[in-house]
Amino acid sequence: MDINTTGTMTHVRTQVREERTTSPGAVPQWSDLVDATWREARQHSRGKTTQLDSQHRDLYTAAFSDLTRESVARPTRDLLDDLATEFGLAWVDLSRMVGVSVPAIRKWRMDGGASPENHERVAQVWAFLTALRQHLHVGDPVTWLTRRLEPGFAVTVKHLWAPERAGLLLDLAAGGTTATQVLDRIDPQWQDTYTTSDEVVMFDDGMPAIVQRG
Amino acid sequence: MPESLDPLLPPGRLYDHRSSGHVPLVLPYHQGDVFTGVDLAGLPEVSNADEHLAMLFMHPCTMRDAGGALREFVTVVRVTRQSATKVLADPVHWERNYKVMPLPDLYETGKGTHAADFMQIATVASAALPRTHRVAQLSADGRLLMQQRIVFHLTRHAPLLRLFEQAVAHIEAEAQYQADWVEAGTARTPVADVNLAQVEALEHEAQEYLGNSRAPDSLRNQLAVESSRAAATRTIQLEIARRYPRPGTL
Repeated sequence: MDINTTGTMTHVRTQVREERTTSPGAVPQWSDLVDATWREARQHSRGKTTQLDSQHRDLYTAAFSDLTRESVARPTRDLLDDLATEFGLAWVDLSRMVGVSVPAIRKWRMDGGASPENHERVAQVWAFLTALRQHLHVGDPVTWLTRRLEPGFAVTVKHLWAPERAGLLLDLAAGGTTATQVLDRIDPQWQDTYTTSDEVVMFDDGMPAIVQRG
Repeated sequence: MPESLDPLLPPGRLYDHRSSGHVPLVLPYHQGDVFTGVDLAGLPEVSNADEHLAMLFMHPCTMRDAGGALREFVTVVRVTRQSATKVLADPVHWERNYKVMPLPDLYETGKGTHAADFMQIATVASAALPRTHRVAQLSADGRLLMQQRIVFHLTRHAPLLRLFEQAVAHIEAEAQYQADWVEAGTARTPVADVNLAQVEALEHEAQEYLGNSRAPDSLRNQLAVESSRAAATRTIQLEIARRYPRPGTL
């Protein structure tokens, strides 16, 4: 294989160019060998891209894990205070992300007493928001979390949240992947699951309302 | 698009609170709250409504005035007993029965099922719904289910639950911050000594701080806009912490 640093094959390119040059304006003459070589090169390039994506996400996952380890050492109450006063996260959103009730969060905030598993889940949300802010410079992580991912589909990042997806979602925030790619990976049926002909807009009374998409 | 409404949640996720006593006083009124001992004048006497239960029905945006206080008169729906013994929590039981909001195991006794009947609506003075008579409060997700059922009952339109979630997020936020405010303000008082007058005074303070919805820059209006909600939340939570530092943090 004669592949340069950008993943293209110089000799194949030259060959095709030569064919074009010898027949100006004509479709290049078919060659099974050239076709197969191009095919192989593209497959190699896709494989390389997948590998790079995965390795880059591993970096995000590692950063998330480091922040989780750091935050697990703190009391649950402190983490909840941070989530409220530093990030502006509503309890109802935290309860859905962590999978517990709002009264449970209220109790932990006043009296502590979260189980180690629930404490870790709260710490993971804190770590994710902190990674967004510190490493990816997302100014307002909670607003980013509640942003609609695709027009016409009722799904946001907070609905997709799970600790094992932290690397992928951080990659989305960094622009390394698209919302469609993330959704395809997490829920291949997402176009059926989340599709809606309605949307929420600010109505003329200044409050949100559900209307048909225009 | 769904071809049926979302399934009923299990009781543990349908309610935030339920009890034969009352829901904690510090929690604000919410759509879906169930009260006992409510006189529903104008509705016919029926044998399975002898507990005089009623559910606050009005949309959370309209049950409060511009300053956030509960309106003088509110609409409620009658809650009737469907079974004295069976907990009918299986969503299949309620499929295609969209004229009611199911309330299985309303008192958390492990028996009985009630339902709020959208066909039996009444208007009552909000004074007839004292918090000491509030026996249940739906969870945020329970309220979304109720809203989806109400909209479908009234219009045959079935928006996704997530649209309701988005449309009422600011109301949920307001209610949460009011509860946070009251909870912080009463944190130094033994729970048994917290009284309604104290709670209402703190609620009034919280609502004043949120401001009036007619004032464009009020925190209440900032909460209504998705892009400014998190910033408004931070401001409110910092103010709560400033006014009422948690015991042990002074």
